[in-house]
Amino acid sequence: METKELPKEMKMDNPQGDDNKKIKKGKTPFQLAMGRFMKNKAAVISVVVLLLIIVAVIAAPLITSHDPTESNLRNIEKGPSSEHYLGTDSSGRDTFARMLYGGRVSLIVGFSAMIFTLVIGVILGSIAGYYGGRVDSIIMRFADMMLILPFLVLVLVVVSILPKVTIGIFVAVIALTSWPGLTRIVRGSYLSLREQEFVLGAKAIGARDFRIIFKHFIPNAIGPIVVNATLMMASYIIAESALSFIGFGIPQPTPTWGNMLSEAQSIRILQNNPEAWIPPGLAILVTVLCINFIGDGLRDAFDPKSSKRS
Amino acid sequence: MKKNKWLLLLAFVLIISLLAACGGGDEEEAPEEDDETEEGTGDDGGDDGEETQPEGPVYGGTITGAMHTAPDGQFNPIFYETTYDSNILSFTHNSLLRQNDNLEYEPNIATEWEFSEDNRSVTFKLRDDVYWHDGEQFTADDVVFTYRSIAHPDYVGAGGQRSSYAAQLVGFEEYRAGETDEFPGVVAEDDFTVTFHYKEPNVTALMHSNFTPIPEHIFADVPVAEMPEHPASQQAGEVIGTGPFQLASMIEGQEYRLEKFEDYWQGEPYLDAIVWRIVNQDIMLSLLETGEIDFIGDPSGFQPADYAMVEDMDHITIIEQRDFGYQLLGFIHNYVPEEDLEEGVFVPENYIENPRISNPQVRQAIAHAIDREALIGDGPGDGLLHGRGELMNAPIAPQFWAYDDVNPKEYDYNVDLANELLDDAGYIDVNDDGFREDPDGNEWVLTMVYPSGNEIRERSAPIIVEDLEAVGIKVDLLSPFDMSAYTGALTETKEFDLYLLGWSLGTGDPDPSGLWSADAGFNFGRWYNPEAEELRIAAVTPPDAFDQAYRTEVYSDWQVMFQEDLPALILYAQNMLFAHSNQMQGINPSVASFNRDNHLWWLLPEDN
Repeated sequence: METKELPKEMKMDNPQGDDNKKIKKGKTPFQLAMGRFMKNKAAVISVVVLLLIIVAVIAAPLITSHDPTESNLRNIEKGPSSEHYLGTDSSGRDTFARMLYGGRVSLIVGFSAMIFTLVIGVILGSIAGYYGGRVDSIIMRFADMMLILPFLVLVLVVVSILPKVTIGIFVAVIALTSWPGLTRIVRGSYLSLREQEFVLGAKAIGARDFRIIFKHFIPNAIGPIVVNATLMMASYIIAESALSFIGFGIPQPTPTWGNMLSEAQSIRILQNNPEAWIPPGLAILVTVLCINFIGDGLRDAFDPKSSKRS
Repeated sequence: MKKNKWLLLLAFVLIISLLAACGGGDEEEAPEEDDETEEGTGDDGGDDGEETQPEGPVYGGTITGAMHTAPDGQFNPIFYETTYDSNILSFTHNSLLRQNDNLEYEPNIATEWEFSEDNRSVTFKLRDDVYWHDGEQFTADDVVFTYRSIAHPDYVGAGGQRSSYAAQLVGFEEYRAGETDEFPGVVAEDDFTVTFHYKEPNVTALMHSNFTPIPEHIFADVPVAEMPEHPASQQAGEVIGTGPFQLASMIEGQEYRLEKFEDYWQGEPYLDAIVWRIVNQDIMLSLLETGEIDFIGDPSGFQPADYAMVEDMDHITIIEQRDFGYQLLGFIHNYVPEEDLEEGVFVPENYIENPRISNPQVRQAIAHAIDREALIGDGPGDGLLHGRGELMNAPIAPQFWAYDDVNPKEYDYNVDLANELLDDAGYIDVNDDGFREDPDGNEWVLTMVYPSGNEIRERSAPIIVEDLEAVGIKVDLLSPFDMSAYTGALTETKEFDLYLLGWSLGTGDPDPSGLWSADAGFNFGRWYNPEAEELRIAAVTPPDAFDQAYRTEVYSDWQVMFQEDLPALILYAQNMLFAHSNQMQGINPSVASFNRDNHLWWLLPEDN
């Protein structure tokens, strides 16, 4: 992989602007990757579906006029009707509105936790991977320590200690407990990059550490970072759903797909009101599948060697 | 049902994938509902007037019941804490007296009792045909030994919480302080006669002397401090009582097997064994449907929302009766100062007022703003309780003679009146943010807390917040607390204003002191109203209090004051819903328990 990236470094040092034809012929690695990605049908369809979901949850107020948190005890557990497309839940809240607004929360949690993790992971991984030595050992031992703590149990403890769980806290808790994975990946990539000639070259001409990390390391490690971040987002959405399902996530009445599913803990709703839990279940399933397909597509695109599964 | 099978399958796939995906799914913590049982009453025992079926009861058979939370494993009547342990004890132990449906005391293993003329002493005659599970005879010495244990200097330190049963006996203080070995409060006159001597004429003497005895011959050489850990308090086969069943074996946290005690004084029980299984509340009903469990009884019954489902099961009979307790929205009137917390005492005079809801008008407005009837609902498919509950307007169980359903104020749902009361009190929205500010124009936010466990109570919390926000009260609803952390937080934290809680009440006496006296630990709102205190004390002060009509009157006044001052708004009393298979016969629940007369339970032979 690294040898393939070398032309990119050379091109960047090549100040010619009228080289368009040449470039067209020899695409940048990124363009090559995009080309490979576009050929992956599952990934492309997933992007489209995910975009549809995102548009739907953003446009929620336009799609439904119901307030997802407003209960009506005089109208509970009703089946689908023209007023409530998916009926109402056991507190009389509109299930369809909760689906849409719940999607907002689930996606926001997944996305912001991913960004948060990315920031921590890339910074710590960069420092550890680039400087090595004692800094590296300290950061990695700390990461190891975090890794041996079981994620779910830790989140359960933190969430049950805190007096009030808000989306922000929830995101922070997830991110602060799951950064070591990404940190190790970033550091791993850097360790091999560090020995490359172009890095030595950059150092030789006096580039600052900051510049080397941002101009040379991150672009070359972007593949595994993006892939892992994407897959992480999927697992965060599932983590949020699972925690909400068992009652330790975002508390009611704020809707999330997970706490909508928790309605189905009752065998009665499970059997009689499938419209209450199949939609959020499917929504989680589809969203997570899409993100995973996109992640796979990205991995294949960035790392062509792994993609040749006949 | 068949067409829904695939849905079920799909559901399982979804749920399993969810849990599996996040790496070692966590079992949902089984809801813990009635942890706040005030006090257990060993209220089983016998009844001679059994109703006989045409075919008549037959011997033999094993039935299985379900509880959603495991007992702590403390099967000593003087030390147990949870209602789940008490569920086992109500099969294995007897108390001196029992109560009938009007909550009047009747003979049990004591045959008669007599008050002395000054009402300071009460003498019980005991049956001479009662035997412990190991064959020893039950005598007056066991009763004396039980009370000596409860009054022992080490009792409270060992975790015992029932000193109040002995506290009014003569010589209690001296004995508990360790100053003397004599405890003249309880005396065995002969083998089958025991007398309780009280310091003052005692209105509730029967309740206080009716404690479930423990066997002296087992515990005599065990120091009180070590009693809770003794095998006879904890282990299957070692727990000895006088009840119709003995704890034969157990798999801790999963299964508790009770086998019949053939020499039971009321005759050999019909059933060979009763097995308690610990299963999640959500799957209890499917187990009931398939016949894997035969009944759902104490402590929680099944959920009102599932009523129609259980009704559809042809082989199941439902028993619905009024709850012996209630759910409440409490107002934190006062806080306990730091120094008192450290010393672990509650001194009403030292309480610090909570300014956010100290105005009674505000509390009344809140009471009017909450639609309690909507919480209960009109019937199936309506409200949180699907109509299976009742409003209560005073904190005394309606089954008691002392409950007054006329005079205490009823807070009907009236948003206009609530708004008016708040306006009057000076709580007005001055900055147009949609929420009221306090009379000084400062931000006014009430913090509300609730425990997890009782699913209906958990669902009621956001709905109550909605009701309050509708009249402009801003509420900060915290995440649900684990029950074990909840009571401590209520006692120590100084930021809370509103709390949700439920109480199961004792059947012994309507005296509300345990929950609502100003210095009671369970009075989490630290309600301190000197006038109400006076009434509450007058109601148990002799000699007037020996007249039940007088007590009724005083309690009526107390209930009126309770509703006026509102230490809490009683939200609803959820009906108890028990279910048992039609094979199970002879079931005769008391007002507070499914387990009464379990020696008379019997099982129709299969081919019927």
